[in-house]
Amino acid sequence: MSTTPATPSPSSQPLRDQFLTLPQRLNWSRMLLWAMALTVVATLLLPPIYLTLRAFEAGSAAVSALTRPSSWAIIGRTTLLSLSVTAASALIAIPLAWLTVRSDVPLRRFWAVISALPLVIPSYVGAYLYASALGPNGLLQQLLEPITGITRLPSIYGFWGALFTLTMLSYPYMLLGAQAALRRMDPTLEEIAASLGLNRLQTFLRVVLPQLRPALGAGGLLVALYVLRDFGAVAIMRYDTFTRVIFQQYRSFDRIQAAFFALLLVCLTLLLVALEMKTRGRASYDLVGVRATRAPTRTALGAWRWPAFIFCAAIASLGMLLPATVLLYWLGRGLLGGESLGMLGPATWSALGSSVAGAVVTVIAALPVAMLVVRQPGRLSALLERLTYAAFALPGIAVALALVFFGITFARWLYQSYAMLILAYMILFLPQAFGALHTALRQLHPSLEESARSLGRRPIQVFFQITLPLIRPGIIAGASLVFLTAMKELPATLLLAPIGVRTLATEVWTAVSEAYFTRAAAPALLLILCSSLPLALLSVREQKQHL
Amino acid sequence: MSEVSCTNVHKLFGTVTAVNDLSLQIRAGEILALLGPSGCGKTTVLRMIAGFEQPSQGTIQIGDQLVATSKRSLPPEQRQVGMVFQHHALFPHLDVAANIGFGLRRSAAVRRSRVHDLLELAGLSGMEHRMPHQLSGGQQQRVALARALAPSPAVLLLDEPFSNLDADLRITLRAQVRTMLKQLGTTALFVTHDQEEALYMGDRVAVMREGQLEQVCPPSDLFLAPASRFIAEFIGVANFLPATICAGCIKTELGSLTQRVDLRPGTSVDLVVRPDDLELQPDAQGNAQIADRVFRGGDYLYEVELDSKQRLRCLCNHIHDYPPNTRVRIRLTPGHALAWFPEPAEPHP
Repeated sequence: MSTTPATPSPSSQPLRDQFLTLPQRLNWSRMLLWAMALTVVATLLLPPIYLTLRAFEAGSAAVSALTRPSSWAIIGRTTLLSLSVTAASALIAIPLAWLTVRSDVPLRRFWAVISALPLVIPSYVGAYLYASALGPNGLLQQLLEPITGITRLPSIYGFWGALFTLTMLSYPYMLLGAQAALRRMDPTLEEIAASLGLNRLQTFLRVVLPQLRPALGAGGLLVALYVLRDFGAVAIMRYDTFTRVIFQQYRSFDRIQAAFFALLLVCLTLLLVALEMKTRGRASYDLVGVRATRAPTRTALGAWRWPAFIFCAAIASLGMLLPATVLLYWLGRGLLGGESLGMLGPATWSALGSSVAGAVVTVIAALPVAMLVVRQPGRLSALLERLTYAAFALPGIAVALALVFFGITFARWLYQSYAMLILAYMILFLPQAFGALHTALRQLHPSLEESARSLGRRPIQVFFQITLPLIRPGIIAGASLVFLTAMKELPATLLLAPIGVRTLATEVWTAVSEAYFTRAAAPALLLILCSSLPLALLSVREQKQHL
Repeated sequence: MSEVSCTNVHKLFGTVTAVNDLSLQIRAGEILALLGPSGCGKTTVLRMIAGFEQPSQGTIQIGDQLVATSKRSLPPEQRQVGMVFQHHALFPHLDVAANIGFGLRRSAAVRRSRVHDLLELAGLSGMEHRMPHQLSGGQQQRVALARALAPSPAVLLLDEPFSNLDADLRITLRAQVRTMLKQLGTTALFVTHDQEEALYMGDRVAVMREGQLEQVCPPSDLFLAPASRFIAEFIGVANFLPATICAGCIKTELGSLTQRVDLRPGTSVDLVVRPDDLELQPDAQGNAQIADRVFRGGDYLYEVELDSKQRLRCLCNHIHDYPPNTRVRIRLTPGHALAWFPEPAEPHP
C-alpha cells in the first residue's frame, strides 16, 4: 500500500477494482454488536433455562410434586391473591380516576397527586408499616385498648392482610393509566351519547368505560404481575404464595422443589407478560391519532360532592397518611429509645455501591441490544427485543435461586461475591435500561449517523462522537431507574449478597422479621426517599412537556 | 467525462425490486435532478451512490474509482460523497462552526479558514457559535449544505432537501443553493418528487418510475419530446388526441397539422396536445361545448367536450369568462411539432 500514490491515478485504479471484486469483507463493527447483544440476551435466558434443567433433573419427583395437593394449594392461593388484588385495585382506581379527572370533588388536584404516591413504598416497607399498625399488639390496638378495653383485634396476617397491603401499594398502576385515558378521551363522544338520549350513568357505562378498557387491562396486568413477583409483602403478611414458599424451601435446602416452584412461577409471570404485550399493542393501536381537542369537561357532583370527598380522603389516609404516620412514629420512638443511626452507615454504603455498579453494568449490557434492535431491524433482532421485554416477568426470587444453584455447581468463585449480585441486578433490571435506551435511540434520526459516515467517520468513531453524546439523557435516565430499583430489591439481595454484607433492604427485612419495628424505620425511610426520586423527576419532566 | 456512473444497477429488498437495471451518468460539474413519484426508487439510487445500500447487481463508479459492485462496497466514509438530508440532520450537540468543520481533517488553522469561507458562501457569517436549534429552518438547511461541501466532495447528494420547508422559503432557498453549487462548480445529484423543483434545479432531469429510468434530458425536452406517455402525463397537463398519419401531415378531429412522421400513412396515433396548444373562441356554430372550468388566478383552464365526446383541457387568459355549456370553436395552433405515441394496444372503451 505504501507504494500507492496518495492521489488517485489511473495506475491505482486496477488495484481498487480488484479489491472491489473480492468477496465482501467481514463487517467487524456489526459482528461485534451482534456478539455482544447475543451474549447479553443469552445471560438473560440463563435463569429460566437453568431452573428448567434442575426441575427436570428431579424427573418423577417433579411430576409427583405437581400432583401433590399442597402444590395445587399454592398455585390456587397465588392466583387467588393476584386476581383479588387486581379486582380490588380496579374498584379503587376507576372511581378515583373519574373523580380526580372528570368531577368537581373538593381538593381534586391534591387527591390526584397524593393517590399516586404509594408507588414509592417498597412492598416489604408497606407490609411492615401496616402490620405494625394494624397487627396484634400493633399501634391501633394500643390506641384502642385504654378506651374500649379491646385486647385482641382480628389478625391482619394471612390472606386479608396481604390483599389489603398489596392493593394499597399497587392500585396506582391502574389509576395512572385510567387517568391518562380519561384526559385523552374526546368529550364530544359523551355529548353525542347525551344527545342520543342516554343519561349520565348510561353514558359512563356504554361510552366511557369501554374506552377505558385498554388502559384498565394494561394496568390490571401490571398489578397482577406485581403481586406474582412480590416477595416482601406476602412474606411479612405470612401468606404462602409461590415466592414465600420458594424462600422457605431454599432455607430448608429443599432445592429441587424450590427450583420446580420457581419454574412454575416463571411460567405464570411469562403468561401474564405475553398477555400484557398483546394488549399493549392493541391499546396503542386504539389510541393512534386520538387526542382530546378540548379539556375534559367536569361533572358537577351536587349532593354527592361530600361523599366523594370522603372516599378520596379515605383512600389517601389508608394509602399514604397511615403509613407515613406509622413510619414517623417508629422513627421517633427509635430515636428517643436510643436507637443509633450509626449502624446504618455500612448498610447504606454497600447498598449504594452494589446499586451503582448494577446500574452501570446493566446500562452497558443494554446498549448493544438496544442499538441492534433500533438500527438493524429484522427477525432476529425483533426476537431479541421480545426476549428482553419478557425478562421483565422474571421474579427476583426465581433469578436469585437460579444463580445460587448455578454458582454452587459451576462457578464457586462467583458464589457469594458482589459480581454475582450485580449479575442478578443486570438480569432483573435490563428491561428498564433497555426501554430508556430504546426510546433515546429511536428519537435519534439515522441520518445523523449517516451524515457523520459520509463526512469520513468509521462506525466506531460515529458511535463515540455522535451516538453516545446524543443519547446521554436516555443513558442517565436508564441508569438512575436501575439504580433506584436495585436499592429496593429484596429477594435477590437476600440470597446473593456476600455473607455479612447488609443493605438498606436487608436491614428492614431482618429488623421486621424479628419484630424490631423501631430499628426498621430509619432504613425504610431512606428507601422511600430513594424511590421517590424517579417519580419526582418523571412528574417534573411531564410538567415541562405540558408547558 | 462523467463524475458518477451507475451501470446496470439493480437493487432488491427481499423480493421487492426497488431499482431495475438503471444506468445513469452524472457529468462533472452538472446538477442532475432525479425526479419521480414517491416510492419509485430514487432515494435508493442516492443511497447506493452514498454507500448506505449495496447494489444487488451492477457497478457504481465515482471519478475513476469503482466504489460498489454486488460483491464489495466501499464504506461511505471512504467515498468522498457529501450528503444533505430532508431533515437537515445537523449534530444537535455541536455549534454551527463545529458542524461545518466536522468533515475536515486538517490543521486547526486551515479548518478555521475553510469554515469561515463556507459560512460566508452560505450567508451565515457571524452565526458560527449558534447551536442548531437556534437557527431557522432555512439557516439549518444552509448549514447542512455547507457541512457537506466543506470537505470538497467529489459529488454532492441532496435528498429532498427542501421538502420540510414552507413554500416561500423553498423558492428563495433553492435559488440560493443553485447559485452556491454553480459558483463552486459542484457535481450534484438532486432527488425530488416536485417537478417544478426538478425543472428549476436540474441542468438535466432524470425521471424514474417503478425502479426504472424513463428519460434523461434537459428540462425543456421533457415537455417537447416526452419519451413516454407516463412522462407526458407526469410533467405538466397533457391531452391525448387521436390522430391519423397521412403523407406529410397528421389528421385530427380539429383539422390537420403539417408535420412529418416516419410512419405508414393511415396509422393511428395519439397526439400530445398541451392546453396552451389550443385556442378557444365562443362560436354558436363551433365544434365543442364547455363542460367545466377552473379559475387559476392568471388564467382559466377549461374542460371542453368535442362533438365526438372527446374531452380536452384548454388554457385561456382571465379576461374572458365563459360559463359551462357555451358553444365554442377549438383550434389546434401549436406552432411547433407535437409529440405522439402509438395508440394503446387495447382500444378505449
